[in-house]
Amino acid sequence: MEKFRVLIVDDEDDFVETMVKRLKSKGLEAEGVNRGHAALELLRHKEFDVCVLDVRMPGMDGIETLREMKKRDPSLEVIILTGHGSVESGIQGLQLGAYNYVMKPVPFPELLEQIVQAYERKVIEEERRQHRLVHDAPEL
Amino acid sequence: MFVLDAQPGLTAVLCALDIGVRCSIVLGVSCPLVLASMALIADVESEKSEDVPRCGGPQSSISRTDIWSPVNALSAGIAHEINNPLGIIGQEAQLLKYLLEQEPFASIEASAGCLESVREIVRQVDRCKEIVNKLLSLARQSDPIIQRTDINTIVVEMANLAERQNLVDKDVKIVRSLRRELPLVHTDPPLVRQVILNLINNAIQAIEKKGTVAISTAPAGEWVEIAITDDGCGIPQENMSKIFTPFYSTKPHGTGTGLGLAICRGIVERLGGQLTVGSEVGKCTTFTVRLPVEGPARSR
Repeated sequence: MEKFRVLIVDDEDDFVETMVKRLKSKGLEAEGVNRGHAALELLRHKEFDVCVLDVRMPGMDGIETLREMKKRDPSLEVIILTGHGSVESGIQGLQLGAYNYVMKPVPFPELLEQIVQAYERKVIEEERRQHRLVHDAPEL
Repeated sequence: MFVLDAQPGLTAVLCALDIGVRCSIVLGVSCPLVLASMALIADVESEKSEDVPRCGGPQSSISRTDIWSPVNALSAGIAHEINNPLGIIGQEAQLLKYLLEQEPFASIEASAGCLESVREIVRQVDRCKEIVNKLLSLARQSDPIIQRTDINTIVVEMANLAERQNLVDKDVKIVRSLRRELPLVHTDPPLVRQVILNLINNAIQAIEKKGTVAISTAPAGEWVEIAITDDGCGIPQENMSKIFTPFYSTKPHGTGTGLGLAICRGIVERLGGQLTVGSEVGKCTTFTVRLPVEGPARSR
């Protein structure tokens, strides 16, 4: 698997720890934090490709964090995790540009597949941007 | 801005109020513009569709992408302009709320009323943010990002999400009927999720107390069809041409923005597909999404 960078944001420290360990064992770069604010702070000086974000956290919730993340870096792909089904917040999250809205508990292989697909999307978008830069550049 | 008191807390409160007033002026000027631009769309007549719906009765399918672009560009521009002052109003109201909960304001009797007002401002700002979000979502012109997509998986995920939500006052059963031999579709997965979840949500809301939402998928030549049927209240014929119009809503005032179906239609069209509806009042409604297996023409 191509190496890319994943950020896990969840107030359940055990979940974060396990996820980071398992993603690293798959050869990915992974890091975790337990608050929305901490994630935004980390993103100020470090780039990630995909973020897995819990919707219900103390302080800044997942939706607010997502809004802020997308404002700063629209190319970051975000997968939202939810412990309870909420259609309204699901619609809101997808509208704000989340890649998916996934119900907890989710088996690791399934979540990994989602993360890989989200990364693929980012790669496609990046290639398109490069293509546009080359083709739309004024001739010298 | 004049300062009545040198006390830092009060100064901050007054500053916050001042920003709030200025922002309201921006909002007051911009909102009617957005509404006016959207009203342009309301005049568009619907076109009849040849599709076979799951639910009988009158059908509606409007496909007029051409008139959307300038209106979209305008509303996107205005929505962006509103977003910043809205953010500031929200932050300042949060600050006001915090200050009013601290001394010296906390012990002043009149603060309680002020606090309640500020809380209401916060609530209403959140509502405005939601509308702006939807407007931006409606107007977003970026090209879809095409991935090979398993539509059945998306439908299952979104149906599970809807099923797990706590419906306090109603009993809704979700039935899935998914064809296994469905081809993978070249489409934009998050956009399809948004459409399906919106349509399932609408279907649930159409049911008053007890009912069934049936979701089915099927291949149809070069297309894949997703049909979402509810046995709820149905849509009267006179409303059929209006349901995809932005800001048209039959939900109680303040609960729906009237943008959901307009957003869905915009997305499906960008994906090269069609969104159609058939309904019988008091019996059923079916929304059918047809997506081209090979993706939108432009991406091929």
